[in-house]
Amino acid sequence: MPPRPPHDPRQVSQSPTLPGAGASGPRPFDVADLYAGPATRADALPASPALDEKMRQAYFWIVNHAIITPYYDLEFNETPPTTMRFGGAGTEVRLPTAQSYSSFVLLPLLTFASRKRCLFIGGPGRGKTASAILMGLLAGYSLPDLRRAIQHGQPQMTVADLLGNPLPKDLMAAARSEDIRIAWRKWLTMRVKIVDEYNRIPTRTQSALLTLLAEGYAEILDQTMESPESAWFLTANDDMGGGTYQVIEALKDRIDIVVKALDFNPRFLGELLTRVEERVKPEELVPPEIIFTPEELDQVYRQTLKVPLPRAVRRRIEFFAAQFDFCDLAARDLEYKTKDTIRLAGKTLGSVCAADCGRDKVKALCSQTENGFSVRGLMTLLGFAKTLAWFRGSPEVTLQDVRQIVPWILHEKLIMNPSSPFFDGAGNGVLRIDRIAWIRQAFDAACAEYDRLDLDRADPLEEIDATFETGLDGVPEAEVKKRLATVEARLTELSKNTKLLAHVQKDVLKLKYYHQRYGNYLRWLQWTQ
Amino acid sequence: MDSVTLDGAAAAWLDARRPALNERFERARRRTPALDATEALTRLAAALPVVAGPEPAAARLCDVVYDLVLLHAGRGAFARNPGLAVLLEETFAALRPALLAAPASLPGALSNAVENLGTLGKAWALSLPAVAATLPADAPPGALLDAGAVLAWRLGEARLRERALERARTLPVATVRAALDLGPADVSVALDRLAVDAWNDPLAAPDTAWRRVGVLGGFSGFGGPFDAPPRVLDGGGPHLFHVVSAGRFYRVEADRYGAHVRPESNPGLSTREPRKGGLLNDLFAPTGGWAEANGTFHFSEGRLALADEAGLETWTRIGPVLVVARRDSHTLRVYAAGRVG
Repeated sequence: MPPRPPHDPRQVSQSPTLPGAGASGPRPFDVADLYAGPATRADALPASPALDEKMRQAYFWIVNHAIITPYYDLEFNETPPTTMRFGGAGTEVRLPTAQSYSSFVLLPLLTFASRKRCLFIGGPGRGKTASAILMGLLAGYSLPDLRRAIQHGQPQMTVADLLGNPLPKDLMAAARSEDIRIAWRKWLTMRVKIVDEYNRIPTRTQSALLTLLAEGYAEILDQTMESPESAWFLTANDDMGGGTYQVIEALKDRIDIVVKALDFNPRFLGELLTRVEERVKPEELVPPEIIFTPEELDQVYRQTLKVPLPRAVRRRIEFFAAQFDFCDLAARDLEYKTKDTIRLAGKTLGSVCAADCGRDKVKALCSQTENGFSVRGLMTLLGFAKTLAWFRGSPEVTLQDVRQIVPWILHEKLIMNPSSPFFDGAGNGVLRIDRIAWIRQAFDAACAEYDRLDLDRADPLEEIDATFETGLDGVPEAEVKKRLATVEARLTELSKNTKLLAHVQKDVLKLKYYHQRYGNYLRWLQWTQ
Repeated sequence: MDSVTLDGAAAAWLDARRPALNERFERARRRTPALDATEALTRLAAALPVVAGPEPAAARLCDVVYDLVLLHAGRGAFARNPGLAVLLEETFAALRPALLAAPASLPGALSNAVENLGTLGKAWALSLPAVAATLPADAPPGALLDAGAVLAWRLGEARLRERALERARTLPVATVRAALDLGPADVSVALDRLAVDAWNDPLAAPDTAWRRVGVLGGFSGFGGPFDAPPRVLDGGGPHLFHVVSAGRFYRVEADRYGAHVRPESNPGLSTREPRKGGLLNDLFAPTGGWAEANGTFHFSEGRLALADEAGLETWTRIGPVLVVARRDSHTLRVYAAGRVG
């Protein structure tokens, strides 16, 4: 296809969109790379771009031609950024030194690639539904099909409106419910599902939506229909779940990522004017080069899953996650020293945290939240971190990927304890409102503490983990006893040298786990002899 | 414009296609306005006689070389990379039979390799004919490219190590011997040694004592990659190091044959610095050992004294490879205790 002029709204960015990015997945320098270059045959067709490159081209087409969102709030740096400070409330402006992105466009694309569930929030007319429609167009659906398939939340929406109706003929004639066939709605089979204003759906219908969204099937009159794995895009005008109906907690909890519609910068009004005058409708001009086939989407998903997460990065996520669920004052027994214990007792963290636990409540991250991470939240974090690294053409997940994505994953999942003394500190009051900045600073604080404790080198479990991973098969009794002794010695050392800090509690729990596993195995060995 | 005289097969080829070649020249000049006619003619006068001839494929080969000259002259590539002139005027002469067998693809591929190898390109272009001469007459073009990859690795393109070792096992013994400069040594044994540890000397049994195997990097003012003395980060692999210099992060891939340094994003690794000696350090030694500022390293298997590393600032050990950086040096010193497999 001949190149289009730069201002043509169908123009796709030239490759490479990210010079120096590797291909999807780890990719050593190959013999083919040695012999590739400008001296190629003039009539040779360019190879199809790698899928991560295609996704980047989709991103740049959207930000250049579809959605005017000149923001770079997902900041990446190769060298320290230049910063400048403005007076007033004291705002730091950073100029990133590597390719950076707008959350409003990138996060939905990552959701699209990883088949997750994204909620757009923000005031009306900010492009929430338009962004969701673009994701459907990238999946190859036509605009008319997408418009028909969008589920519009409204107070009279019934389960039948959402899922389908029994065939009237079968309803009259059937002797058993199994004989009633259902005319399922077509949108249930789509790989991109859009629900507009989900907080206007009645509670009963929300429950039906929950089954579909969480379990991947729809059910009417004992008939079920499996829905393929898909990317979900929901919109709401109020992120607190308000609207016509309160959103049920289980449905809110299934949302993987929340994307905020950013306000429009009036300095870009000229571009809006051009659209008005030329009647440009980007949703009608999506270039075919950035449309993904179902096979390509399957491949994208597989590639994102394969992006490795290095141990050094994983350990920091472990350390960060460990900070929030722990509460030394919640229980007497080790396993119950969690915030869940407090909630189940009908108390708040604030009421328990007032007592002295020997920790600095300003510095301790645990004082800042009412809850910890769920397994679902952690899995979502890992999935998005991999997808972000894949999108950036990185051979593995980096700490920057995690740092940039973690606030968006936890935005609705971490419940702030606004009474924590941390928020009373100088300059921290704004973090009660700016949750993105709050979560990011918490991550930075956790990483700083991780470095201060030198845990990359001084991990008390590293050798014990490695030994356990070699397995138990064929391990003789003497060796098992030796390993048990090592676990006990490490526990004794920890108990003497450190307080039961949040990350130490997790280490101790794991050591107790190892002790049980080895102990059970030893008892079995002795029984079989 | 100076005139250039050609005779023989090259002149005949030019004469037969003069209008078409002039049109191609004009198109090339429109694409790259810097294309200088005098330089292009001079380069053509040197390159075309090398490949021209009576064979049917020679015409196609001349076509490709003509376009290559225009491409490089228009981009100023001849000045940036002296290896290109060597390739067109000397290497192509030696490889003419192979080029005639694959005129559409082989010249371009070899040209790309010279450019991709940068400062190593000239040496590669000069050495390739001797390696190619060891290939059987009926060897496919792919064998020449594989041999070229092995040669590139030996000349210092460290990123090719794994692929070069794979390809070497598919090449004739004489070709591998030439590409890796192994002399009369047993090729299979040499490749095995390199596969186990590419800091090993393939011609000798591995020396399990610690010894210095490489000095990498250097000051940018003298052609090296680092503006400031680098600090090595703790992590990587036996042939992969991560470094920070003047606030920028670098990925260093290295082995006994050379090193490749390129910028990377922050890998999220910390540094390992020397500690004061003493009983406490011995009793509570961090995993992986510790070092004193005087260049003494304390590992679980014993002590290693490297007097040359007194004043060390950062270090890392990955398996049998130790990398050390000093505040007063723009280089990294690599030590290895040879592995036997």
